[in-house]
Amino acid sequence: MGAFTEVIDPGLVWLLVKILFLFGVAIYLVFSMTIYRQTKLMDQVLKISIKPSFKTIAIFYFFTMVLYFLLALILL
Amino acid sequence: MDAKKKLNTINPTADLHKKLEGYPKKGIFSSFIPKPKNIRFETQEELEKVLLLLRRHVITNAPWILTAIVLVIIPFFYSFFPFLDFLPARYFPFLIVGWYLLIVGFVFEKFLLWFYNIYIVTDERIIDVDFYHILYKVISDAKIDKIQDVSYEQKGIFQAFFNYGDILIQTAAEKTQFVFESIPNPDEVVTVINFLIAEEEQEVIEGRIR
Repeated sequence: MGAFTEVIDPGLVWLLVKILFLFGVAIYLVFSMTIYRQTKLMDQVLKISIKPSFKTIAIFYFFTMVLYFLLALILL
Repeated sequence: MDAKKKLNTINPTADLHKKLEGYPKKGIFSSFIPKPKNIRFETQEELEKVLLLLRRHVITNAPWILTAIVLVIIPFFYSFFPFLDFLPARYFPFLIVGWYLLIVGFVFEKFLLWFYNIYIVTDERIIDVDFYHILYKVISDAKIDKIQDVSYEQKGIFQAFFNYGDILIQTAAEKTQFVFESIPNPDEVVTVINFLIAEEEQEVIEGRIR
């Protein structure tokens, strides 16, 4: 990393690291949204009475990911 | 005529229900649920009864559970391999939280794949919900009277030890073969399906077709 930052501007390297990190989180955000969509669809196919439903857990997980993404965006 | 008489003397419906009542009651997270309560599916007809709800044996979840356990303990060994030391300190809490969120997502997805990958046996048909991964699922069904052949196979130490195996169902429906994978008590399931086939045959003889 040290040799790398000697050639390229360190500010640019950190910007790239941040962008990659946020990009990774964004992909996972889409993944969590997909889980939510699937649980919603499966709840229609198969009506099982469970409390809390997987749809609720999935939406909770999705919003946790959103919060994580926003915090990462603001604080990093 | 003799065969017809013989079929009339047995009562597969009563025998089947007695058999299903005899199984211990199981919760919704079980792999073998006879006569499940509070479960309906999208295309279920009004008089159709769910007799069996099946999933892969719980032991088949062992690989991803072990993977998750390894992933959980990896950060505890970070001090031995500090390969991310070039990052500023403020990044670490985010990385740790992100890592565990990722594991939660991984576990949740794997669990859902197991939970929703189900096989339903009703008094009218069999339904196979194949949930391969989060973006790909296939739902197929076949009427009991279209079933031509039912068999099962158990291979390997694990399947013999935990008593689970694959049930192969040949049908004359659009999908010609159904495979119920890694089902607990496969012999019992085959017996139940054979009961249902006998019941359908009797319904045809007696003219009680729904």
